[in-house]
Amino acid sequence: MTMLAADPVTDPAEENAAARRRSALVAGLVVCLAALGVVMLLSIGVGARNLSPATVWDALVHGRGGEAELIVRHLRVPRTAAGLLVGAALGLAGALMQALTRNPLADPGLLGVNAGAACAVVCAIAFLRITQPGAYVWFALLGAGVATVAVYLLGSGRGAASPVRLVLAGTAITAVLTGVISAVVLTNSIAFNGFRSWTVGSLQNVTASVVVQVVPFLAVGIVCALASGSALNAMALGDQLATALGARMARIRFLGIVTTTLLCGAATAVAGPITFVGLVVPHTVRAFTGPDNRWILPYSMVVGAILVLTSDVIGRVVLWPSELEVSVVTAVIGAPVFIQIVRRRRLAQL
Amino acid sequence: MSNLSSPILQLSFLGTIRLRVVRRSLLVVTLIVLATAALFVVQLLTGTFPIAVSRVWATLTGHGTAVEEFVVYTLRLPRALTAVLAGAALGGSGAVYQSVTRNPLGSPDIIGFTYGASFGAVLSIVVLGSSDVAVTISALAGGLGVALLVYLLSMRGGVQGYRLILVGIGISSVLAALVSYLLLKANIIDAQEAYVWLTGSLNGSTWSDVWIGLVGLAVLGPVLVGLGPGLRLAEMGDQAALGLGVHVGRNRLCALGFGAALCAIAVVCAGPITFISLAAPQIARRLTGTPTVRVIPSMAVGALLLLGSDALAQKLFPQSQLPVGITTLALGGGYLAWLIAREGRSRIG
Amino acid sequence: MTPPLPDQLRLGRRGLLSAMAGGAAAFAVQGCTNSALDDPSSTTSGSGASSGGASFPVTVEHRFGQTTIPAEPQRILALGQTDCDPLIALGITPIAIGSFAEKWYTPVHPWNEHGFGGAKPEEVSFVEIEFEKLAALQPDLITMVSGGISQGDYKTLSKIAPVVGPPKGYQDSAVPYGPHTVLIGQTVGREEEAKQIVADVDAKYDAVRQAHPEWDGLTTIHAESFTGAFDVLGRNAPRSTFLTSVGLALSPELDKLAGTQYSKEISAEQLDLVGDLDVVIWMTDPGAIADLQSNPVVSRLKVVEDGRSVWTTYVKTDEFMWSMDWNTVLSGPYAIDLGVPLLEDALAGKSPISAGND
Repeated sequence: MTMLAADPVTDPAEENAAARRRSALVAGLVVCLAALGVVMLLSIGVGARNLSPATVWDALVHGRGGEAELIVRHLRVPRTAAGLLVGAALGLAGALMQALTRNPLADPGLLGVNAGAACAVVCAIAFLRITQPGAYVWFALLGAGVATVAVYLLGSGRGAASPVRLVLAGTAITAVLTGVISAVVLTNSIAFNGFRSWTVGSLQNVTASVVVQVVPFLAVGIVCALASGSALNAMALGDQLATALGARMARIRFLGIVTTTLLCGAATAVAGPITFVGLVVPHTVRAFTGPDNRWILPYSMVVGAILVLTSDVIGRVVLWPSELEVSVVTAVIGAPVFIQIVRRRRLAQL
Repeated sequence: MSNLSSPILQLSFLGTIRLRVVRRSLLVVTLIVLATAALFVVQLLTGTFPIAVSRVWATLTGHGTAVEEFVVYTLRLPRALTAVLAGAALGGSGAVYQSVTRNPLGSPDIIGFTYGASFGAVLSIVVLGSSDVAVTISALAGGLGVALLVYLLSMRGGVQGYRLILVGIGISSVLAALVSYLLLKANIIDAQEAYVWLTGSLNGSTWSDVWIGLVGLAVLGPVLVGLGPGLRLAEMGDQAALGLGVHVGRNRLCALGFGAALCAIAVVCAGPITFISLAAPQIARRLTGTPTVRVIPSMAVGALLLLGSDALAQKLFPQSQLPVGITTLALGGGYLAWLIAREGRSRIG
Repeated sequence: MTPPLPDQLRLGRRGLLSAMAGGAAAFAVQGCTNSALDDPSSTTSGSGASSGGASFPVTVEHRFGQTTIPAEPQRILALGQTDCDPLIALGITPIAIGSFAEKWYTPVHPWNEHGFGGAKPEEVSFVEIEFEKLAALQPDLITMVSGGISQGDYKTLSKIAPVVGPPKGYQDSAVPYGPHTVLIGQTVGREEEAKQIVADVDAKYDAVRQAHPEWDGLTTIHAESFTGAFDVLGRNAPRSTFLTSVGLALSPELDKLAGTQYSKEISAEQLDLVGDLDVVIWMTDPGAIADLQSNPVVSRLKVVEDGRSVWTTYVKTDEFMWSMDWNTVLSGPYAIDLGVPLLEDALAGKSPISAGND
């Protein structure tokens, strides 16, 4: 996948500038990772129950049973892990999706991931009477997978899937699935209730077992996504090159879609839909990194995780002792920042 | 086309194509209008309340009983008329947006209008507990307010199309999150009422909906049709098929504004059945065989799609009162999928 | 809006944003009282709301204005979720009753089934109103007293028959059995009889308090868990008023948190506020009681460890939960009969599960 040499730079002055730029980007990534570490500590330390840092540390390291251990080990640690994984996965999935379709309106949900997952969850509640959120995970994953396959098959027809057709196919399948969801939830209040809570993405009720279940999917997805930067760059060069490369482009697109589905499907299965991250993080990141996907991908991953974890911590504090769902906070605090960036920066287009 | 060397020959060749396209469009539009009219009559004659065909006629000519008048005049007639008008408005506004943005996902959604309207309506249903007029007003205020906000936020030495879209995405995703949140925190009956509104429903359409739709369409329809040729020219003269990156000219800004207004009218009448604005232009383009989306065929398809969806919802599930938005999604989505699949086989498109 | 429902359904299972429910009711009350929306065909004379006898026409006041019922209604459509109960208590069988019209739900319960004489009543949806179907039923009165009606639907329904909305000044999910029964009594011209029925039910609650003076001052709350999140019911929720009516006191901290909201979400980290109470009623999804009991954050609570909890679900056979939730003049005595032994068992540490949960 990484065959294409990136920028054939010859001029020494330009080479210098490129090197400076590269070290700036590396430094930026290190800063982001440090920020991520801080947010993770906050996420373990802050919650509805006031615990001193010493108590938290004690409960985390030594256990010793009791209230504090229950809160830190059973509630906050799984939640932090989930936030980290979900944010990273959604950021990556969004970056991939936008690179693949070259459409700024594309979010991972466009492939039918959210609609497929929601449809499966709603049907599980309505027809199989499943009410335990732990059991939603597999339905959500299955629904996301089936919907994406349908979108891909419809979008590719006989030849390779073109971005426009993929987008339209995603729209059509999502519409049909949304129709099914609405029909089920409007004739079954129990399913409606499950649906409306599932549809506001949240980390509140994530348990350790749920996180462990999706880790394999996410791990594969993250590795594949990070490895695809150069290939995506080649794709962005446009049609002449794409035709020259022929079948390889089709394969890259296919792999990209599988990866997106793994990432977004697993993240959605854990937390429910948090669409803002996949849509907005890559746009934001692009304003700093420029169009190079080898940088956009890792940045999107780290910034996505920072955004989700920060939002979750804020959500625990603002309505204390209740909590505000992470998907709401993400959008509300993320949007002003995003719009500010869009207004200030010269935009690197897709 | 490369073997047509003479420019005159080329022109006349293009002219023939053009004529053929126009003739086909005309035929398609006429057929769609006829189908819509037939379906309209069926909708007036049928329903849960049993009324004989002769009684419907008597009622329409002013000789019905009070109950018959209620069913025909208060329930069925405004409902069918609203379906046609709102469908046409949505189809037209979708065509304008897809043409201007040259993006099949282009719809008044991108400037945040529908999300603003949804947020306004849900807020007023769920938090203020209001209904009808108040909901309509908040939807309108929300939609226009957000559209204006998006426009102002995207201004920076002129409005750039790409920036407009990104700002629209940002604002819309916040509103979408807030709408889900409000639905979650409301009591179940309010939440269901709001969800029905969001899906788009014609159950409970009134004559005021009909008048709003009629006046709106009469004023805005001709304007949009008039803007059409200019937009198509712009559309053909640009390479970036999905780029959306060009400066939005005055002509296009006008189109966006009027398109949003048309969509607003439909949202006020029937709720945000936005899928029609997405699907109708694409379906119409494929039926008429035109290379780009057109306003009039899209309006015709939109009207038929909405009326047909409503008929289907009522006839298939007479017990459950499913809102029309559901069948619109299933029908429009299914049909769009079929069209795409067929295109895939024949390798056009 | 409409009443009884498992509040999982009634409110977001994660609780209600402050002021939402209260705000909704207040707005509706202010916005609608002065509009004269009564049935256009009826005359506006009448003896007013204080009428006690059966002299028609009768005019009643409600949230949407005044409604005049021209003659004694013969075909009453009880569209409000619990409106059939006061009618049945007054010896009237409605021609059709409001319902969710879904499999998991039933409006027919042991306390009101005698009113339908063994027949299955016609159920019509109050969620999405089917106007043509209602018109075909040809009612001469429509009641929507237990709430859940919008003003637009009220207007359209008024073209079919006179409509009575909820009493003024009450939140939709919290019309107590007193005003509920008296307004319906006025509507059918039997206000005195209705007041007597209400007094009898009041007396039954008094009797429970006298029989259990030791309950006075014990703290309690209704706690719910759906899809992993927790909430507690506010003081106006029908199931909370049941607990206070039998002499228990709501937890002051939690009452302050929830206030007049239907319910309030609390974080799993805050559950010790529930755990430190004297007795707690839990509700969760049908079939999920064992899961809730074994949830590590629940099982360690004192009120659970000591067995001082009553476990319920919204399965339709859990008649204790539904009778509390309906909170009508018929369901209240039934809730007392079922609930007092359950509360006694809980206070004895027996961790009882409400009947009907297999």
